[in-house]
Amino acid sequence: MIFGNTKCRRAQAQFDAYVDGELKDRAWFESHVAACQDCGSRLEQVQAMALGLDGLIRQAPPEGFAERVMAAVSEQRTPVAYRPARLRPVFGLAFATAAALIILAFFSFRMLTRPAQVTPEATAVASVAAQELRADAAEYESRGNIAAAFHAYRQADELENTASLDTARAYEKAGFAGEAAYRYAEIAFY
Amino acid sequence: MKDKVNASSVQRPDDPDAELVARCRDGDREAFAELVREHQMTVYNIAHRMAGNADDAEDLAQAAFLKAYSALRNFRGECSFRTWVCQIVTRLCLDSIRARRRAPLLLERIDYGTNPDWREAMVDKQVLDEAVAALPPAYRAAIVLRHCEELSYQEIAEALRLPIGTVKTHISRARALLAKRLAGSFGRKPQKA
Repeated sequence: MIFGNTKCRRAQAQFDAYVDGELKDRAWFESHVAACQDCGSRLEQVQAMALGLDGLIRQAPPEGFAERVMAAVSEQRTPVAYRPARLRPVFGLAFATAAALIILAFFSFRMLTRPAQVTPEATAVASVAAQELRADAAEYESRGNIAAAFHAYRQADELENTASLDTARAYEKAGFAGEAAYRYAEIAFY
Repeated sequence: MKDKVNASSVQRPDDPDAELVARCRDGDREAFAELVREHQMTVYNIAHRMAGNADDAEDLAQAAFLKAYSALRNFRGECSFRTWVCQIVTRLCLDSIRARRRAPLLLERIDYGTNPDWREAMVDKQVLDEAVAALPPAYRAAIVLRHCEELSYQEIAEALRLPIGTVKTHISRARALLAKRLAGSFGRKPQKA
């Protein structure tokens, strides 16, 4: 049923927010629903749906999951702290320049699709970072940590704005047939 | 000293995980292990609901924690750590689903219809699980974050990187769509897992 009344339309747009406790102007809404039988019965449906969904059971991780995660983490390098105020101005400028070059490279490639317009500096920065990631990924793969491997391969691909055979294979090994097929298709397309 | 800002100062002050995150950034792996233990249920549950099977769920959940660990330096505390890991795992799941099937979002108006049988069907948890699993991924993510993880609209918007109005629309349409699907499945036996 489509409501014809403006007030009913306004109330209808607020049903879910009201049920979820996210509606600020509750007074107007409640007075309208109390006076409008149609909106009252529709609100009751939304309430019943929300209540039913609250009964969705959370899926617990399998035994030893946290330990397996930490085993994979222990193979990673220690993360570098985010400390903006400790950066000396010269490093800050260097980082900002590198970031700007990477962004420039990305947009130049995506929008102009002419590799000649990507600055060599930006390509070099992205390429070095991607090479490191690929080396990490190969290391993960050799140790059988497929999840970490495909993650690193994908990051490398994103940096270089490409789709690599390594990533596709890593996805395939990790059981993500769809993602693998997508990468293979991208490679074929390029 | 003004120029010596502690890492924890970039964290949201009301985030219960602020101290663990700060320790983690200082290289304390045990602090990250505590974060994993604390949030493994949330991360795995989202991965399972989105992937639909235990094998992919474990891979995705593990990949999400690895990504969180390696990206901690970029975490500026604009949202809580919990919302941030929800964002990471949801995006990984949506990325992995994207290539497999593209379920279009419904743009037309949906309502609950006139068939009241959906309420009966909803009582069966397996039927409800199947109906949720059949939702378009973006709608499913919003429903899982809202009803399983009890995130607010604002937190869901941060996790999915969507405007809050879009989150509201996703939740509203997902629920109406569920009513329609459940009404259609009433009286049918659920599929065997």
